[in-house]
Amino acid sequence: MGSVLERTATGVERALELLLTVAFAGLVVTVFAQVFARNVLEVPLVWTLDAAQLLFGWCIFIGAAVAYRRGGHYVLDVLPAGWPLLGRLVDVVADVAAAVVIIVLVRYGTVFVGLGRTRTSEALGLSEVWFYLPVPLGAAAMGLFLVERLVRGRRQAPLTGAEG
Amino acid sequence: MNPLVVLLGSFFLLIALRVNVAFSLILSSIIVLLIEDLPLASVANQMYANINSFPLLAVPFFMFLGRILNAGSITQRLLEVANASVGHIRGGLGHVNVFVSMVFASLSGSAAADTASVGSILIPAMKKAGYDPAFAVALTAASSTLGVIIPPSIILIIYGAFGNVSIGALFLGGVVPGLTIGLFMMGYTYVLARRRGYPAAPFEGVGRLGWALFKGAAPLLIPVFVLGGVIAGIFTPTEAAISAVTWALVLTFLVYRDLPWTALPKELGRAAVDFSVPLFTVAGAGIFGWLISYLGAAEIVVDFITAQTANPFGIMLLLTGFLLLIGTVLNPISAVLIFLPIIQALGDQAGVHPVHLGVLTTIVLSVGLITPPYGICLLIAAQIGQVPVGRAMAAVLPIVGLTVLVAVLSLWLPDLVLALPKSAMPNLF
Repeated sequence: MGSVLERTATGVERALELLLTVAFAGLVVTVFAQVFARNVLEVPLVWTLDAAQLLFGWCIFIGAAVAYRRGGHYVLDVLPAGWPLLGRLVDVVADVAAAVVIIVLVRYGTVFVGLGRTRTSEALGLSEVWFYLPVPLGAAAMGLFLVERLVRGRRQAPLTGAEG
Repeated sequence: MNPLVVLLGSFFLLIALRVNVAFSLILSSIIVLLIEDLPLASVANQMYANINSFPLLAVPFFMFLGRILNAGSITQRLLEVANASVGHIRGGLGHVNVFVSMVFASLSGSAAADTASVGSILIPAMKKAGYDPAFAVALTAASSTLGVIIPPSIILIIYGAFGNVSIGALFLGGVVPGLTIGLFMMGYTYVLARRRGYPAAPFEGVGRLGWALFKGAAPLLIPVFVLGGVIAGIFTPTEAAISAVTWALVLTFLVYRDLPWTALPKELGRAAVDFSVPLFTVAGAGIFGWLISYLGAAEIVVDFITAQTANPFGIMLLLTGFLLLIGTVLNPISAVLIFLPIIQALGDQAGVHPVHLGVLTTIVLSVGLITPPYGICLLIAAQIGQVPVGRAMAAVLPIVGLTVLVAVLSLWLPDLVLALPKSAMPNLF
């Protein structure tokens, strides 16, 4: 049983994960369709490049938000573990840094989405708003997860998701 | 203060303070944008621009492929092939470890996935057979770094996409050095096994090997058509990746029936979270990389280095040293994204072919995956083997030496890297 905030965050994470699954499945199907159409049917499809880019952007920014809640982003651990006070201080710095980045991404991500209103993807007949939307959306979700963590107290960042 | 110093200084300070790499890239860029009075709006813009790339789409597909190989029985089948072919040599399980990593590397583009999957099977088995646990851990971690050298490789894809180098040629360039490093590791295992009396399994016969090969044949076709398709110009790397994914899905879900179809959504969702981490870092590097070019970092570094030495070997050795150093704190993807303009400017100065430079950079940076403090493969392996990281580090050092040796050797023998791409894609040379 968690607080309302924690349950909201968990709900948002689940919803984003579902969205992510659908977007990635769509990406797999789109690029597969492109290869199949070009090499087997020998009819190049015009919409696949734009559709792939659209879905790719959604996967990255929404996925990054989910990874943020799970502590999955690349973090370097060089600080000595034995000094709890230093550790707490560093955590505060890290949270302030994250807050600044998230605010900038939400604020200017929204501006960026606004720019998309005047542009349309010819191949899909879709406003570019839909391409840029995941930038502020993902950042907003990160903001929610940051607030949740601040309220809940310190987390232990697990060693996951790191990849060369 | 010089804005370039602020950019790099604040970046390294932030990652030292445990801010994640992507946020550190973005925040240090924000600071410099404010100092230089540049519009903050370019942050979102440049981030999106950096991921707006078709070649980059190969990254999610190759990472998804790695996940399917492990979720089903394909990794197990490859282990059986390795066991039947090299298990009878002295130090057998060590050779199996390196061999299967080489094969796994030729299927998937990632290293940490290989450490976790191969390590969880082979480290306990090696400990039980009397191997020094620290050596088992070190060898597992070191051999899995072959995943970033032997194609397909996510780092080579990112290097090619942002450095304007043919990804197909980079893939081919990674083949010979990757296999050479693998063979060196097996040689080292053999020497150690002789000295310490590590066991070998009895040879189980040609029939057994044939059966293992038969059972592993279908997944082993993947590297053949990925590399073959790219060389023949039938596929782009992205298209090869999706074809490999399709084949692995058909095998896992239809032919071998390792998993029910209902497991597919979960695997898709997990893969998407996995690949979003490096690609969000790619996005974050968009604004950072733009500032690096804007502030003229490449020219400054080239001027500095060429003031020390004009000798091409000298320049390349300094670059190698620099990459080794950077690799200890940054993972290869971040390091390539941040320093690519500088790496390429120095390579030009030394007259090294772009394909050679890309492969060399990747080999040297791969070492960072097994050196502290950010040696993710070593950390994972040490955790699996329950070995203190310090002991694993000591055991991994001689193997690191072998990898660096091959990288440096290629400076004198460029054909170690270039012979294969030259003969398959002569129009690029």
